[in-house]
Amino acid sequence: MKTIRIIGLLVVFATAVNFAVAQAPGRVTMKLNYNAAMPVGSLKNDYITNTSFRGAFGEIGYWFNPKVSLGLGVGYQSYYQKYGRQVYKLEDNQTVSAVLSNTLEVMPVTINGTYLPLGGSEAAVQPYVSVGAGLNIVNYRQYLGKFSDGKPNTAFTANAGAGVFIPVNKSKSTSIQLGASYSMTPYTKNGLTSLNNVGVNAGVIFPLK
Amino acid sequence: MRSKFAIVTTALSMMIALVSCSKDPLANLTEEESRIYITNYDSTAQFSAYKTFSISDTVAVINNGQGSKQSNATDLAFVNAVKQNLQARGFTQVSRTSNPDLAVNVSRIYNTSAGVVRYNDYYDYYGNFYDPFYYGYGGFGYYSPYSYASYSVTEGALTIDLLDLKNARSSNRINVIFTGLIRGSGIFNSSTAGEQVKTIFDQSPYLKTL
Repeated sequence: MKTIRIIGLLVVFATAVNFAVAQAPGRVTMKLNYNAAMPVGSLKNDYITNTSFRGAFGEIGYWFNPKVSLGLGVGYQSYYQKYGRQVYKLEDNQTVSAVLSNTLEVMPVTINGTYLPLGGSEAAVQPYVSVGAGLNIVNYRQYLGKFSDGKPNTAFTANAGAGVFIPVNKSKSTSIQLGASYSMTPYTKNGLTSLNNVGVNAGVIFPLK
Repeated sequence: MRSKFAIVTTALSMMIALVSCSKDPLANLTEEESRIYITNYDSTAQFSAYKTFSISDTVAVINNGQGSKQSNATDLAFVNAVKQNLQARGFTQVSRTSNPDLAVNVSRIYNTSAGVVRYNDYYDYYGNFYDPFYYGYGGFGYYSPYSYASYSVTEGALTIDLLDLKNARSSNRINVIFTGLIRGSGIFNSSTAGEQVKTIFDQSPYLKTL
């Protein structure tokens, strides 16, 4: 909620100050962002409650016009949580006492569309919304003590985000990016139903050509 | 141009630094935390019907299928801890010639091959070093009513097994009615043997004759 308020203030600020346009049609840009992700839903309830501060994503995008781009993105997020020793009842009469370490690494490869409602204007801060969909490479690994189980697999993923670009150079071609996103990955394995998360990201967008 | 380069390199450096510090779960475990304790029992066994037990001061050492008997300080610590815990649950220790209701076997298992331990497999080796004749039941075979697969094996495991001698004659076999398995790092340590055996018993409240 706080993030949304900050983004709202930046949008108001943007409309009050005049700057040049950031991205020209035909330009190819790269985004590099650090990302922190909070598990929600089944991922939080059934596996890991800790926020992951180990994540990043990058995207190469093509701008059709100053308002719309389409890009190919690759991300990475690593979750980890250790639970103290507990006794777990398994099948039949089997009981195991163990320290449980839950880990999850996801690497979404997505096609993303970004829309700048003020693109082409001279706003100092350019708000954006984005949507994306693709494949999530999921590495689920659960440790009982030092013994682990799990294997990588893939799942469909989709995301939606919003934020701002803040130009930082004279030509306004390079910007700082601040944003928030919701990522949805249905995942019906290992007792989970989804790997959804809410993320906040900060990084840069700059032209490649 | 210089400011753009600085921003991009700073962003890249921060991302690499933040992402590369991913936690290694194994590096974040102490030896105690690395250990798992797995217990299982025969649901048809009435533990309250057993009153006495016999336990050897030696442990069976199963090293990739080759068996021997040993008794070092760590082995004795485990055997004594098992005795104490069984006595605390109301069982009485007797000699093996006094018709004990239960035989208690403690074994060290070293398995450096692929990672599965199945009880039915390792009980095939049992006759080589825990000859049923030892308990006065020569000619009888061992039988485990269940088996379980374990995790990948790179070091030793310790098992504590309770065998039903009380009903051996009527069933013509020695049934395994309880198994406790300890796996992980630093198992064979006399100073932690008592704590490890206690964990096995703590998660097995049904193991009593009181």
